[in-house]
Amino acid sequence: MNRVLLVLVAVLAVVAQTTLVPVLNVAGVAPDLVFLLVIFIALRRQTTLGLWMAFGLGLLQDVAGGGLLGQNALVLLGVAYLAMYLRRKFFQENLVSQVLVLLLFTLLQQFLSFFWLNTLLETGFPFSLWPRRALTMGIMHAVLGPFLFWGLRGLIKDEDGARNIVSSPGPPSHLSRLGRHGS
Amino acid sequence: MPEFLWKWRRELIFSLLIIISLVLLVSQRQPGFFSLTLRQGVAFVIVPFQKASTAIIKRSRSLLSRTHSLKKLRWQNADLKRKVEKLSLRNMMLQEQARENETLRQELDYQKRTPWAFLPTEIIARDPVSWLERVVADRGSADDVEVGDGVISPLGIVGRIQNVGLYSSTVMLLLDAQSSVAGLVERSRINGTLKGTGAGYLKLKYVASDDDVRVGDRVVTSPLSSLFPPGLLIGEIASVAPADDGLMLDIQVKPVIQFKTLDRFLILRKED
Repeated sequence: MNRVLLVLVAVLAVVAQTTLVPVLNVAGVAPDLVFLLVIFIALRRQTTLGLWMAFGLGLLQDVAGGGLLGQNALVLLGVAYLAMYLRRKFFQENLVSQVLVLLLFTLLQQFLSFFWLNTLLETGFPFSLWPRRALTMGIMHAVLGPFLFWGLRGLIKDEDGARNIVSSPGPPSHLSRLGRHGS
Repeated sequence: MPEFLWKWRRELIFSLLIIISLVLLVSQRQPGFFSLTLRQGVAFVIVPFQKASTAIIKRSRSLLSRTHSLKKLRWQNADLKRKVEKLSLRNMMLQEQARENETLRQELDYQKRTPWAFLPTEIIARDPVSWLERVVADRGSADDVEVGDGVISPLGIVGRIQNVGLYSSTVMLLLDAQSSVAGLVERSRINGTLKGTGAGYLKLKYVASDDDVRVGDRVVTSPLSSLFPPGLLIGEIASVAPADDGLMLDIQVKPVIQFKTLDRFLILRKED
């Protein structure tokens, strides 16, 4: 793993999230590139790297997007910890599991944001806002996530060698396994 | 002991970072030295990248639109010429009225109105997935921007400055769930407080159930506001219903500004 490259990708993700994504959003729905990057790192590494990256990227996103300091850091930390904790139990070598996991983690991320803002800052967001936002974003993440993971797979090698935990959205993994055994 | 720490290092680091995040989040109510310095430090590093990225995106969009919009430009040009003629005539009449108004104010010995200065500003970043409605502007304390300065556009009011860095500042938009501004129903002169909901509309609070407020009424800035000059358009009343307590009205206001497409505005400063 190249740490300099990782930091560069992290900064690029935050800059793209706050400058490019608002321009490219489809019908008002935009993906969260920083969230997808944090999930990717947490799935690839069981070490504390995922936690530090979640915290650092969260703070960077808070400042870069004009949000409240600590808001994204808190939410991303929770999501990253859960992803690291559950990775062995839930992640299978297929696209469907990735899609489901991204959908569920987006629901959780949005719920945590809603909960913290309403509890700590008494923002008074109506509860109906959460499923509407979370579902549209979750679907977008489920579509984009696997492609992004596939593009980033060279950035961090999976620490326990199970390279297909974050697999390609392309050919089914059992075919690629057959290919590896064959060669 | 070190073995114990090593074994539980992930949980310990997780707890430590959660506590730091919580402290930072709670401290937003009254930002202290640490959170302000941290924010300014991070902004100092990230803002140049954002400015460069925004400049590239704007350049690319302008190049793309230039190639296929000649016809549209001709039509726009003709339309703008007509508008300029109309507005010039109206401006002349208003200048005459302003002179007359000033003479009358002097004769009546009214207090002199505070003059306002405008600082043109561009949006360089926003987080489209955030629950909060905030954007980052390309002006900071180096341009004498201060926390609490009002922000407007030619259409109406936009919000106010929430945080200031050296070369950038955060603007809390009117729609933000923590935003609040004094408003006035233009037709019936009813005062209230406009609060953001974070859901794309505003609520006009503290209006009694027997007050004269109708759907379609324009809401403008109140003379009670210290951030904005009075009479600037905020929005139109979209719905009026009795509140749950029966004493007040539940009023929804549709803001006049399209916040999603907003890319530049003016920062208001009171001239000394």
